[in-house]
Amino acid sequence: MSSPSSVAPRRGASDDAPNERDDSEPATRTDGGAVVDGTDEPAVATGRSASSWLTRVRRSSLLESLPFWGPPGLLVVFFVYGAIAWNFVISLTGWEGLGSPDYGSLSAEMYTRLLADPSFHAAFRNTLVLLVAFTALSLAVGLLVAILLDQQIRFENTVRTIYLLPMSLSFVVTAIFWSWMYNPRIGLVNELLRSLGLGGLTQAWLSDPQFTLAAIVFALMWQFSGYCMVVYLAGLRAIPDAQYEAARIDGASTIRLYWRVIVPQLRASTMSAAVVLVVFALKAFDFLFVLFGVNPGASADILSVMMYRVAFDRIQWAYGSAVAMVLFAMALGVIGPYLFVQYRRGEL
Amino acid sequence: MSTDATSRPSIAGVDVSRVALYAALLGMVAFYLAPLESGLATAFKTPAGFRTTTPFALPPVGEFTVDAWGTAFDRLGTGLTNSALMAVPATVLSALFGSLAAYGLTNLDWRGQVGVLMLFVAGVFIPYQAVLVPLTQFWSFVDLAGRLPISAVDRYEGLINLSITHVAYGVPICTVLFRSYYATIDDEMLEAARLDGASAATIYRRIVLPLSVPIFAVTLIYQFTQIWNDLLFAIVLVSDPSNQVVTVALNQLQGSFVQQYNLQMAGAFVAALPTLAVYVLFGEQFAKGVAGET
Repeated sequence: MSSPSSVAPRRGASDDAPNERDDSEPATRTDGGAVVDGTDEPAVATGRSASSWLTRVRRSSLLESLPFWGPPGLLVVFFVYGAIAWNFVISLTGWEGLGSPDYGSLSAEMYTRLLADPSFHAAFRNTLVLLVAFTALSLAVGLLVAILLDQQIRFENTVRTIYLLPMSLSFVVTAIFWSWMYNPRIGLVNELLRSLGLGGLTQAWLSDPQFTLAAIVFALMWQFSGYCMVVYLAGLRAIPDAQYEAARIDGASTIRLYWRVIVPQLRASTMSAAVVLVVFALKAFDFLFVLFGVNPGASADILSVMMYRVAFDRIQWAYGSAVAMVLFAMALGVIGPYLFVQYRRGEL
Repeated sequence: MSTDATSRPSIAGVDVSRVALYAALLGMVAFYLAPLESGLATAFKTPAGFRTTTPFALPPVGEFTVDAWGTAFDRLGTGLTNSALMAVPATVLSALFGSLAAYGLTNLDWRGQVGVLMLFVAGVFIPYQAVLVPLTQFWSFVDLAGRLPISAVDRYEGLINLSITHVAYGVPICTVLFRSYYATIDDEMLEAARLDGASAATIYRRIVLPLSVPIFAVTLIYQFTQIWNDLLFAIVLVSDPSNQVVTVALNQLQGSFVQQYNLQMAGAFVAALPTLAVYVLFGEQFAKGVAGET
């Protein structure tokens, strides 16, 4: 945002939008009415010395705003960015066990060890699979449910509240529910399959390595598709009614209408929901930890669990920090482009 | 909002596609509620009851019991209290910080604002694993109980550390939620107050804060749920069993009563009770908070 003006509306509005209030102001304003700056006291409001750095600082509300964002900003800088930098330095030491890290000798040894570690390969692959499958499935279900809800149905609020309910629960709680759902002998999933005459499809969902990851993806979809529904519903409601009308007059069928006209317009919703889901999938530690503890096995191990196991169970701090840096880099790979696009659109 | 309800012909008074629509919606209701309903039904059954009946079936006569609930409350009682002690201050503080930061970054304009804002927004998406090891280091250096010889600090050191940690990592999302709301505040009104000589602090206290009630509701609801539900920070930062929060206690209960599904389910509901109550009462605000994360 280049405008120092405090009255120009945000979101890409033009910088020199004339302000009505300006005309009725006392004649101390001589800056042509282009920019009204809230901070300047009447005495310095000539606008002629705007090029001087000091005046600029004073005219922009930097100093005035500092007490508001400064303290929370310090917290964020210290706990988020400082901690990540610290974590990176720790990952360069060889710190293990009790005692403190030796910051004197730093090397990339932990990272070369990662590259050669088969359990890292498995966890990395599983993380990617979980990420893609969980995100795609949740988006698809969320979109479908949102479209169903958008048909001017009765009890919409109640239905929507029920769909979003799992989102309010802790991973600890939902993991316990799903360990019961997936119980091979008397769990609901297998009971349901048997009652449908599909007894041949029953599985030991959580202990058979072939199905573990898929079972996790399904359970996480159950919890998060309601979130996608909320995002998509907001997107659908933002599309003007006229577009539905126009497509109808053209004789488009409902499916064609949604596929060709409506869904393409939901790209922004899809993107922001996908970013949040990907980040959630990267963090999906709690759910797996409750189900499997620190050892989900090669078929379901993901990086966030591996990091905890290495650092806090085996107390190989430096190695755990290196795994954490990989997770951070993956998150950055998603957030970076997202923030850039948001910035370009003027959404920040 | 679509308009197909008005443009669709109905056959013999019954619209076939509407019936299919409601059937699909009902099917999804069953899908989202099935794990909860099965859990609730199981929590009221005796072990023999849940082994011999379908999970979602109501407890048969003679197999109904509330024993599991009693045990669950016994086991999780301390955890519930600790979670409340930790989550309530953390929720209020992070919301307050979020409001202040959003005001400073939205309603007061200055160069470089976007850069600072980016730092806040990116903070929402940080995988917490990336800060865990330094965080444990940090809190062992700080050693609150050693520095502040007060019995309350000594007794609740783990919870205080956890609470402060949640405040710090809650600030980014709170700022994002407040910012999108503050961007809609009429700037002319704030400008008028400024011309009248009101300071930034006065404007915040007299105009912005009173206008913020709805967004405070959204943020408080969302943050409370997030903080209450967290497991990762709690297992890493709190080692003292007397400071254990409810998610950790529930995880232990699950681990020590492996085959006792009725007890596990009752425990899950007991631990989720506060967030479920909040959700039932303030579902609308929760939905807004969830949507605001984007």
